[in-house]
Amino acid sequence: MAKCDLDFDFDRPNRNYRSGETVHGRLKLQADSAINSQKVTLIAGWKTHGKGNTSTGDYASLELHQGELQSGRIYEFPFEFVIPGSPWTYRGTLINVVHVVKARVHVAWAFDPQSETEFEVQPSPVTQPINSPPPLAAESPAGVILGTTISLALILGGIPFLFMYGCGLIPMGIGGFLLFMTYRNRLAERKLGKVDLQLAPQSQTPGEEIVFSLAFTPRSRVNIDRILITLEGQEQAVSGSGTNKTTHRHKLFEQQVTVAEAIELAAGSPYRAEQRLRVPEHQAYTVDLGDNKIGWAAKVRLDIPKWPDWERVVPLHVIPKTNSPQAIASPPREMISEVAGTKENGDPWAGELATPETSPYHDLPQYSSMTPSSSTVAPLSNSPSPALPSPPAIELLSLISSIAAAPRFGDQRSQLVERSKDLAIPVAIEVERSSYNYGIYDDESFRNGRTLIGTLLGTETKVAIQLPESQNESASSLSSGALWTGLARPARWDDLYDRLELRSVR
Amino acid sequence: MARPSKHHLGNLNLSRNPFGELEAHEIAELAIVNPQPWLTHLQAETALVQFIGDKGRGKTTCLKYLVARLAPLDYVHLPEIGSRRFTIRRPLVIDEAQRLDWFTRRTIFGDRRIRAIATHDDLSRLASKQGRQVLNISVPCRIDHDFLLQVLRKRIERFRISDAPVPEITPNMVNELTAQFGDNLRLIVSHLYDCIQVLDQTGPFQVSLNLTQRPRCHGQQNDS
Repeated sequence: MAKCDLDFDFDRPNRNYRSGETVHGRLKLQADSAINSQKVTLIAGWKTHGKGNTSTGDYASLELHQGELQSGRIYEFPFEFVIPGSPWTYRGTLINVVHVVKARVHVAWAFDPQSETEFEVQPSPVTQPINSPPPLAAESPAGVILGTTISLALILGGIPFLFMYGCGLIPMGIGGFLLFMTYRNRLAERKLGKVDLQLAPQSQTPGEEIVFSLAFTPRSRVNIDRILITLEGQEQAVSGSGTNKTTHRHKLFEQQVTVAEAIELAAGSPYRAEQRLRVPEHQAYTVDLGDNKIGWAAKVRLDIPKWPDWERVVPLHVIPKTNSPQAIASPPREMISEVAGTKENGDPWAGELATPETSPYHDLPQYSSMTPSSSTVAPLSNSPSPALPSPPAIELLSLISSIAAAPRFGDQRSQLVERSKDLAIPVAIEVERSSYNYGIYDDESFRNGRTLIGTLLGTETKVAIQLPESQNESASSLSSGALWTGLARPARWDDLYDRLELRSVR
Repeated sequence: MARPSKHHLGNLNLSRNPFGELEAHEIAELAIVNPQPWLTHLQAETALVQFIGDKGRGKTTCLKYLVARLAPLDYVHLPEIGSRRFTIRRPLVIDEAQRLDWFTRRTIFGDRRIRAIATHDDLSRLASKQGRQVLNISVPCRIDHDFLLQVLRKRIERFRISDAPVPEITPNMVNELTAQFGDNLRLIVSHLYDCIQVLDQTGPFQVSLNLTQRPRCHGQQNDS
């Protein structure tokens, strides 16, 4: 049987791509003897592996060659294809999504030599396909009808068997329970009145907030023990089929928030509550790949003593962050002014926000949107290097998140740092301590300098800033809790302490 | 949430969890079967192979092996719920053939394009009445200690990245697994998936299951 070596070369050695990008590469092929091949094909696609049945989806199919392959000759077939909007590479507990290219030499009446290799696909920072989640309907009428029909069938079907040693009690009990579950919310609303539950937005990115608002006007006097909201994300994988079908679930995240406790409401007095919940930082975006799913949902529950509780489960769409101008939100201006002391100097932000297209830094990954509570760094007018040109608004926090989220092993982290090394980023840190620089630095002026260790202002994110010897005096005067502001460039990622080390720009 | 490695389980020198669900070609590749009697039998035009056995014993694996070996051959799985209608366009094998309805099972085997079936119930008499020469294969043909050890080790080898160490399955581990799960290969494999998922080092590992707790499967070196 002819042996055939198949090897893949990608235009990016690290094989990291984003959805929507074009992958360029070459398939290298060498046969140890002549092969009377019909054709050489290449298929690009995604597939799942893990505890669930495998799902696959091909998005490119190319015919690279037709006819005989000569012995010993090295063939190089260029290929290119566009990666679709989703899914993205994901490595979880039950579910893994990988993107692969598969090359195959079709040989008549013989075993086909073939090979496949993986590449990484991350969400595009520009646009994401957003499948609108289903509208927040009250209860599905079809569900109510089905529940009622099955319940009544079980109850009525059980009656004739009551006289056979009470066997009919079992289906009647099941039917009664089903009937109760079908009408539970309606029973609760006899006391609560119509409950209006709103979520905004139903599609949200990690790190951002979802606002729940709940409103009702009780029909009669009612006590509520607790109003609970549970935000939950889980992987769900189905293995086997038929009698062998098993559904496996793995909880990725669960957060329970008590909105209110021990409420006593009089009839006719309207009640309104609002709660904000933050979607955690992660890469488990909502996805449905047949037997493999990642789902997010919020469960809202009103505990009413001695009465059926009101409960509703609302599916949420967690989508990747985008790098659109809207997503790079400005920090609260009061905070900037306080940090930078520019209240009287005018608005330092005027005209500074760069769009992804115009920014020289648009190539940087995952510049996420910010929330008001997040720390933000901005061009500071009292920077130690006022002569330096003001860079566009850069979110250091997002850069750190991206690096921290990258695999610990491999070169992805160092590449991210490398790509941002030329950026002079405005930094504001709350100093915890300072220490002497150690190690051999490429720049002599840093060898005897100091390193400030602290947290980015308003966050728990730790960073270290190397200062040159010339700033030793000012550095030693900074006690714990002091504020340091200035421009710095990312230098390296410290895996030991999981923090970014920056070097001050003099 | 995600493992810190380019490969999913790169720290274990594995390109993926070997005990997850497999693709059709991987099932065929990893099957440990003795297909010669089946292949010889199937040379006859009227031949039919019936794989019979309980669930989780490898009937589907045998069928998928045939599909890979005798391509082009269609694989038809009859679902428990929903439509069981299918069209015969070319030679095929039928999984879960016990789900064929009363009328169909009395007529369908007249079509010689059906080459093999997997079933919980014996349908050989019905097939014989329709002019088929049936070879009955009880699955598992053999599922002893050594066979299980071979199956599990072959899976790990399939997804090994390099010559560096990988998680190891020892004879003692197989004893423990069979004590817990009997010869149900599906349950054994599912349990090993969970073990590998939380494993942090190569070599032999703990597989015993405390029924009141989730399995703790941290690596250990003394199990041999």
